[in-house]
Amino acid sequence: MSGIGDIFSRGLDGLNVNQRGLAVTANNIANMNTKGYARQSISIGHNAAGGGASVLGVNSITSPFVELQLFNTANSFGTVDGRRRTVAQTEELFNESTNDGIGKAMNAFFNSFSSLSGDASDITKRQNVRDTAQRLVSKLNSVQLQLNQMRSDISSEVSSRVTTINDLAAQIAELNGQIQGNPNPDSVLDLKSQRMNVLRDLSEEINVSYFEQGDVMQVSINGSVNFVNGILSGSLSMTNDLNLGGTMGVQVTLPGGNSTLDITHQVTGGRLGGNLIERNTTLNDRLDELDELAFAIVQQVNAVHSAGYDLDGNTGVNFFQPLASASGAARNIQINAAILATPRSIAAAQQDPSVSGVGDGRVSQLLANLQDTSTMSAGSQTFQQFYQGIVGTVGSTARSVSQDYNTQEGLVNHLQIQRESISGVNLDEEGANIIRYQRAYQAASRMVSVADQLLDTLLKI
Amino acid sequence: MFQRAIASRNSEMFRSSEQLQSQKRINRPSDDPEGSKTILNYRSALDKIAQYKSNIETGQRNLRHAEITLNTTKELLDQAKQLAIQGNNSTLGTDGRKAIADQIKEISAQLLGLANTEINGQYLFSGFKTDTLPFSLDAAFPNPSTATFNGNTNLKQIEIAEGQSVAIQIRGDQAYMGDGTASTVDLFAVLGTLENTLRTPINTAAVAGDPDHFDTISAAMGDSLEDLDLGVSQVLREITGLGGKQNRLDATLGDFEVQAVTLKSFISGIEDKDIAEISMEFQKAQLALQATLSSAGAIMNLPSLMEFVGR
Repeated sequence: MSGIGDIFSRGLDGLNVNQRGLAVTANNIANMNTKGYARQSISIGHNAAGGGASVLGVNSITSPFVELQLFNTANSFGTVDGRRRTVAQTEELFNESTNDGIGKAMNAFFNSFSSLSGDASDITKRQNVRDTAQRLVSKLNSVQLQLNQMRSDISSEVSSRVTTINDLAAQIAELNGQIQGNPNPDSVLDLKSQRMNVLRDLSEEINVSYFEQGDVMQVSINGSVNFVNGILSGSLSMTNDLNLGGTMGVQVTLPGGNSTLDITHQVTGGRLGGNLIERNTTLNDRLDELDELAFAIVQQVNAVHSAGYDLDGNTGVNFFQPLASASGAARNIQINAAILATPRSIAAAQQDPSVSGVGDGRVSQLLANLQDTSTMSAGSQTFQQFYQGIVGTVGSTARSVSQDYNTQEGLVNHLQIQRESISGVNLDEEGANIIRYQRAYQAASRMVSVADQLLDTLLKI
Repeated sequence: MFQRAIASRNSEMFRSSEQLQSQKRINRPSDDPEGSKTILNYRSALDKIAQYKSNIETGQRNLRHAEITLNTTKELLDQAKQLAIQGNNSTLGTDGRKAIADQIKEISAQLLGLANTEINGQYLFSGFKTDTLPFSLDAAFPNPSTATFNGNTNLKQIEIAEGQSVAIQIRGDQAYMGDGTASTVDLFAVLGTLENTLRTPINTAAVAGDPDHFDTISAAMGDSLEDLDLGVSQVLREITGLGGKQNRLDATLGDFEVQAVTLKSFISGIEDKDIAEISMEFQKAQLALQATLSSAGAIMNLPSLMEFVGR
C-alpha cells in the first residue's frame, strides 16, 4: 500500500517545488526593472531518504567579484562627479577663447598708460586710463563674486548631501534590524540585496568600507570611523566656516553616542569628498590666487603712481584705494575716489608739471612698464604670466576631472553590463522557466490524478 | 545601458557641433591647457604690439609735424638769404634797403610763428611744457634782438618696443636758438641783426677810408649771410635727425606687422581646426548617435519568449 501513497506524496512534492519555481520566476519578472536586483533561482534537491524532491533554498545569482568592484568604482565615480560641475563652471570663468576676461582687461589697463605717456596732458587719454582701470576692477570683482557664489552653492549642496548620507546610513541600520533574526529566508535574501543597493548608493556619496558580521553589516568611513554599528547609525553634520578661504568641516556623531568627532580629513571620496575638495581646496585656491593678483596690482601701481605728480602738481596720491592685505583683494579693489572724481588726478609726471611741463609722462611710462616687470611669485612672474598660470591650472584640472569622469563612467557602465549579464533578469530565460515549471507542475498534478485512479481501481475490487 | 550610451554619443555630437560653429579646436582651457596658456601669451603679445603700433603712429605724426615745420623754417631762411644778398648793394639806396628790412621783419614774425607751432592745442617745440608758448621776442625787437625760450629741454618719449623709448619731440631751443657753440646760431638774433644792419642809412656817418659808410655795412651784411648759412645747416641737421628717427619708427612698425602676422598664424595653428576635419568628425558623431538610437530601438523591440508563453 505504501507504494500508492508514495506516488501521492511525490506528486505533491512536484507540485510544491514547481509552484515555488513559478513564484520565484514571477518575483524575478516583477523586479526586472528594479535597480540593483539580482536574479534569483531555486535549488531543488532530491530527498535522500524515501525519495521525492524539495526546495533546498532560493539563491541570488551574483558575482562577489563584480559586486565588490561596483562598490569600489561607485566611490571613485562619486568623487569626480562631485567635482565635475564646479570644475566646469570655474573653467568658463577663466575661458578667454570666447570672451574677454581678466587677461585682456589687464593688457588694456597697462597699455592705456603707455598711450598716456606720449601725451600726458591729453584728457581723453587720461579718461581712457580710468575706464580701462574700471573694467579691470569690475572683471576681478565679477570673477571673484562668481567663484564665491559657487563656493556657497557647494556649501548648500554639501548640507543636503549630508542629509542623504545620514538617511542611507539609517536605512542600512534599519535593514540590519529587519534581517537579524528574520525567520523567513526568502525575505532575508531580498532585504540583503536591498541593503547592498543602499550601501552602493552610500559609497557613491562618501568613502566607506564594510564587512558582514553574520547577518549584520558594519560600515565605517575611511575604514576607521564607525558609521553603522548593527541597528545603530551615526550621523554627519557640517561646521560651516563662511570666511573666505575658510574650511568647511565634517563631524560625525558616532552610532549610539552623543559626542562628535571631526572627520573633515577622513572624508576623501564620494560626492561629498569631491564637493569638499572643490569647496575647501580648489575654489579657495582660485580665490586666493585672484586676491594675490589683485593685491599685487594695487601695491605695484600705487607705489609707482604715488611717487608721481598729477596734472595739478599734487603728489602722493594712490591710484587704487590702498589695501591692508591680500585677503579679499579681488573683491575690495577700488579706484581711488580722487581719480574717479577727475582724470586730472592721474599722476603721469615725474615732477610737478608746473616745473617740468604738462607733457611730462615719465611716470605713466613707468606704470606701463609694470606689465613687463616680474613682480609676482617672488619676482619670477609678470602679472600676465601669473594669470596665465591660473588659467593653465584651471584648464588642466578641468581636463583631468572630465577625463576621470569619462573613465569612471565607462568603468561603471562596463561593470553594470557585466553585472547585468550575470545577475540581470532575462525575459527569455524566465519564459523558458515558466514553461518548464508549468509543464512539470502539470505532470506532477497528472501524477496525483493517476495515483487517485489507482486507488479508485483498488477500492473497486 | 542604452541611456548612458545615448548620453555619451549626444555629448560627442555637442562637442563636435561646438567646434563646427567656432571652427576652433580649443573652445575652453581644458580642451588643451598648455595650448590655451600659450595662446593667452600670444594674445597678450598681440595686444602689446597693437599698443606699440599705436604709439609709433603717434610718434610718426608728431615727428612729421616737426619735419614740415622745420622745412618751412629752412625755406624762410633761404628767402632771408636772398633778400640779404639783394640788400648788400649800395646802389639800392637807403629807402630800398629799408623796404628789404621790412621784409626781413616779416620773416622774423613768420619764423616766430613757426617756432610756436601748435598741434591739437599743444606746442611742438616747448618740451614737456606743451601748454607754454615756447618762444617770445623782446618787446622792442629787433632792438635788442633777443628772443626767450620759455619751454624746457625735456622731450616726450614713447615706448616703441619693450625697453626701447624714442623721443617724439625735438629740442626747440637747439633748433631755433642754437646751443651756444660756434657752429650754431640764434636764428632770431641773426634776423634781428640783419634787419638792423639793413636799416642803417648810407652816407650819414662817413668814416675814414669808408666815405659812404657802406664798407662797414657790407662787412656786417657778410657776417649775417654767414650766420644765415650756419642757420640753414643747423635746421638741416635737425631735419636729418628727424628723418633718421622716422626711418627707425617705420622699420619698427614694419617689424611689428610681420610679428603680428606670425603670432596670428601661431595662434591659429594651435587653436584652429581644419573645416573638412571638423565636418567629418561631426558626421561621424551624427552617424554614431543614429546607430546607437536605432540599435537600441531594434534590440528593445526584439520578440521575447514571453510572447509564446501560455498560448
